[in-house]
Amino acid sequence: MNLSGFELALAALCFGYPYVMAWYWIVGGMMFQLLRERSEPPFDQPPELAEYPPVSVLVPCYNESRQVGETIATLDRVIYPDFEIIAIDDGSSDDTGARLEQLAAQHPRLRVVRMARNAGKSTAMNFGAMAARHEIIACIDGDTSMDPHALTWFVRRFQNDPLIGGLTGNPRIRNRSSVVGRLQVGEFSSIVGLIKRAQSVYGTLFTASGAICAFRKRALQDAGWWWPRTITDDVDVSWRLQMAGWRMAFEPKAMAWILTPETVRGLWRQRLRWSEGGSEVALRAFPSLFRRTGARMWPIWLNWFVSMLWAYAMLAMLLVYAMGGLHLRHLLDMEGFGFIPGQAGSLLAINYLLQAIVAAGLDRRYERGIMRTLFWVVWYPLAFWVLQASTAVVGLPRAIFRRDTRGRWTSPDRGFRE
Amino acid sequence: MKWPPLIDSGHLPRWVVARDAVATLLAWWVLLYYIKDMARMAAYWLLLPFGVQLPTPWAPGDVLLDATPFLKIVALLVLWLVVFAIARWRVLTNRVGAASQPEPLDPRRQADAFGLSDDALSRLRGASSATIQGMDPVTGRAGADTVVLTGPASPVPGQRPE
Repeated sequence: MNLSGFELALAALCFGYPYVMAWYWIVGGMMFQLLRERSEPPFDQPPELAEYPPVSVLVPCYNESRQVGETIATLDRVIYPDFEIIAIDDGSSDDTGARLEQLAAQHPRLRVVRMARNAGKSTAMNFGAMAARHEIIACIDGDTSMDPHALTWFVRRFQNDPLIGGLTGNPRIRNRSSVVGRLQVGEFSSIVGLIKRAQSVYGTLFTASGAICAFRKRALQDAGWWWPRTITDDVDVSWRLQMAGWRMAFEPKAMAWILTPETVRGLWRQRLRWSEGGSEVALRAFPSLFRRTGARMWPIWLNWFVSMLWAYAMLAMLLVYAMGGLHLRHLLDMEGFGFIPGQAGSLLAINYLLQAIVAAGLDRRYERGIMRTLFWVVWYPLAFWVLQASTAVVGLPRAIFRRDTRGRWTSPDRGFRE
Repeated sequence: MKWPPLIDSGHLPRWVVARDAVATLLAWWVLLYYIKDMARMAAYWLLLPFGVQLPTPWAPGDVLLDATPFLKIVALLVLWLVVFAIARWRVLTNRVGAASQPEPLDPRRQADAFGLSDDALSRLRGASSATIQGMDPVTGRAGADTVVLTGPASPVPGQRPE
């Protein structure tokens, strides 16, 4: 490829990936709305089910002493006739275990599994699932507040389709104190929510949200359960479950309220972990894509691959900018492809704003007043994407050269609460 | 407990809240400044049918021309979604319970996957509180040394040990 060919490819990738994918997600999100969401009852009025099979709710905890009381209290509000709560203390160094024992004395549904030594979230989940007495298991994080109707919606979706082995719920941001928190409300709606909807149309998901998801045990057994060595247990198990032949689906009415980082440092650490974990799973899954059941993951894998190329293309632009005296310096003058938005940059910004408005419109039925959060999404086209691209750039080599043989708990900051 | 359990900025100092709002307003101003040429183009096209021809930052139609190759990819991807939507129509729109569900997993098969004995499994499933000792943290599997102790590991006031 000659220099002008390289320039063209770089410019086309930098502009083309976010531009094309924004439209793709918008259209996919609207299709899901038309085909599935539009004629569904409101999330707080689930229909009566013919049967209410018992459900086990797993709550893995590591140093959650301050949060777990609230988590169990919100599970007590869940409106479902027959469920048990299994809280797993993964060898916490604080008094989470003792706190759980106290809570178990107050909440008859709660059972406690204590790992004598810290073994990682995946192992904690695996032993929690072994303690679980029921076939359907729902999972939330130790700091997540489950919506009272979430279990009903999960069970209803499993009852709809016996081929569904896993479901991802709809995590909503709980803490909105700072710009970082408020921005993520828009991001979870305009990026995460739209992507899940679009992926649901063609039937394969990149990941179930670990903060709120549900599985059939049979499907987890076929997938090989949670893998102790992975960084992002939810992405890993989602890929293996789908490659084992089970379907996954998005159930937006199964909601949970989650705490997210509200500092840039906390956000960076969280997103880097997600990026590293996602890359690790995608790289490891590559050989399986050539097998019959793995082939269904190609669209997801290719999207991941192009997103990585895009992140590195943006890095290349930054290097060109930094090495201003080189021949490539004029790349910055290309219309809008540089860091100072021109025609193409303006188009991307407008596209993102449209994406955010459409996504907030789709999410209005789940959260009153979500349109007001659009005020804060301005940070995404101006600055936040830089953080996302940077975590992708740093996360990939970390995933490739990772030597750690165990997944470890990473507790991000949980925002400003007091 | 209020529901939904949102945590807003009520507990933050007012100056922090004001700072965030002002910074975000400034960010909007910056963004609108950068996309002002797009607004001028939009105004040009909106007023053209009324015989008003405003000056434009770029040649009319330039933006569409540049975006056309990418819009063709968008069209292809939308076609891909439409094909899947049609092929999966019943799965996506189905709201009726299926006639049958998969058989539940036999707990012993599950325990085998982790090397847990039948006795340890039944203790784990039967207990309201259990402690697992001696499992391998690297493989995540139980071994010969694995023990499942039932009953609270720390004393709970008013509760008898199992």
